[in-house]
Amino acid sequence: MHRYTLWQALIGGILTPRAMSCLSVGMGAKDSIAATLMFMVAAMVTVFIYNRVAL
Amino acid sequence: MKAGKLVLFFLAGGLFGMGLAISGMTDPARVIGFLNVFGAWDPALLFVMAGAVGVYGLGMLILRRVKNQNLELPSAASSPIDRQLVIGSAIFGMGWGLGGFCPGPTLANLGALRIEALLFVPAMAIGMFLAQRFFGADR
Repeated sequence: MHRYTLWQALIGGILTPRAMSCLSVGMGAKDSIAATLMFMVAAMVTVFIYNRVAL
Repeated sequence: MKAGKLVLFFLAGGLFGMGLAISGMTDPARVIGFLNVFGAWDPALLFVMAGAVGVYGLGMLILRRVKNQNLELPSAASSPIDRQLVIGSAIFGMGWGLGGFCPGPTLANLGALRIEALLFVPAMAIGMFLAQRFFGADR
């Protein structure tokens, strides 16, 4: 398996279609829609919990 | 790669960064405000995303109809919704909710030498590197 350098990991992670799933929603790809919904819900729950713990 | 294509990349990056800055989406506080659905909710990001996705979707639709063989369009084919996608998305969402940054705006903030971005970007690179090395994530 190819081993990535730190720099390759950063650039690859940012520029690959899966990472840019929020824009790929515009093409109607099911995996992009699922990923976007998943990370939005996870982020909203995280903010909710953070506010409860921090306040 | 042809010089014209490189110029296009440069212009696209400039447009992307300008859009982020004008819409206020380089500010983590605005992003956190959108994610705070049970508090003082700020819907701005929803409109920005809807606008961006709409323009992108329309652009892709038009370009697909043009059928120019010189165009290299991204595929609309969906890969399987597997455990890796679900877990990765959830972890990404947790990081997004804690920091208020996702990769595009973070890099824009890096250009502005914002201290949070200067810390966030190396940490993000290390996280991606570890995921690829130890969990076999290659995308």
